[in-house]
Amino acid sequence: MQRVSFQIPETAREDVLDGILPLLPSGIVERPLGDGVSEISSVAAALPRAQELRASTPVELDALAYEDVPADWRERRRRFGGGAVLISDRLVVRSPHDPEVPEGLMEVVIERGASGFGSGSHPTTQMCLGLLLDLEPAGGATDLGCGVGTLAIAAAKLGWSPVSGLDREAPAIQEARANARRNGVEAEFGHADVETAELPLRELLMANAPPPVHRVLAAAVTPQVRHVIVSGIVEGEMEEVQAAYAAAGLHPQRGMAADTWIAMLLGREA
Amino acid sequence: MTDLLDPDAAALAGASFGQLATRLEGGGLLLSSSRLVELNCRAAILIAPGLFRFDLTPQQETLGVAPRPLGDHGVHWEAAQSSWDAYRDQASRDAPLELRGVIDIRDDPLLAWVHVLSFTDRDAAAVHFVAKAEIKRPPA
Repeated sequence: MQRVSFQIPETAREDVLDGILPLLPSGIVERPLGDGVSEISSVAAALPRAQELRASTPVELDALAYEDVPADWRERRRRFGGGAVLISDRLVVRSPHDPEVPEGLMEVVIERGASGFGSGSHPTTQMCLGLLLDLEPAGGATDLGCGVGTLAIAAAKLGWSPVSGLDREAPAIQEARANARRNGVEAEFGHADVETAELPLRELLMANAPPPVHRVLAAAVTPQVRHVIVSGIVEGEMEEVQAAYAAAGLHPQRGMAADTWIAMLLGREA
Repeated sequence: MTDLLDPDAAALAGASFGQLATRLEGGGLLLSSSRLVELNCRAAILIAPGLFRFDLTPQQETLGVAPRPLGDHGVHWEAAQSSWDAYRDQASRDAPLELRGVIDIRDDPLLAWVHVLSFTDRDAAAVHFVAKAEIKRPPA
């Protein structure tokens, strides 16, 4: 297998892709390098020659280079990365196959397994983590609909304690337990349907889940619950979910949106 | 004047990834292609020269969809989000992605219907796409 890489100004991305994407059937990965420059790379058994690539684009392709790379995606991922997500310039969610993060950044290493949710690729996970990073740890945290444990593990790493998670997908719970061990944190994960189970209420609740879960949760919260991170809802559902929590004394303090998805940090008015 | 529904031009534009193109009975252009794309890679899946390029970026839990207009005209796409975001419904991961587009060419608008099936190969960390596009003039 071969890998080609080159650098372009980020502002020229779409114009460059107009020329090169038809020549690179396996697609491209873009990696921001800072200062408005991106590295574009592609891996394939056969790649177009440098002259063809240069002729296809309106801008100069800087640092154009070819190299032999392993066919196994895991080995390539270890070397070049590509599966990690950076949240608020502080936290990286990555798979065990991605390179370790530079010193100074916190990381959560997540193996997603067959079908569990929480790799960090979905905007709702990213927004929940962004809101979690804004909070000062003060007590315990529960992740309802925890998937493979991403939010709970991040909370434990940030200093919330005790931490637990519930999900109705049993395989996801197995992955969540393995991920907690992988990240060296104490967190308990249980297999339960959040809509019907007895909920372990704590100072922080995180629920990246559809509206029916929020209805149940809003009806169950006690004064011990100081904050709720809400996501898994889309624009048309926000008012209803917000009203349900307002009835329990929890009001929006911060909000985020990505695509049509919404995330909110709710808290008790001072 | 360039024929934007010319199948030869479309086949040539997508030759490197094996795009097939043919004229539809009754007028219009049919494109089809299939591809294995590794997770987190953005790949052009369909190209209609002078009209649009259809890029997909498969990710673990969602699918990046980037239709790119190729020309001065506007292209408006519509799709139900549930057709590409499997957050809510595990079963929908097997459902096709469908988008309908209106290409605003003055005095000669076109309609496009894009249909993509995807199959994830977790061991290969890749998604196999099978895509087709029908591009036609609206019925009189």
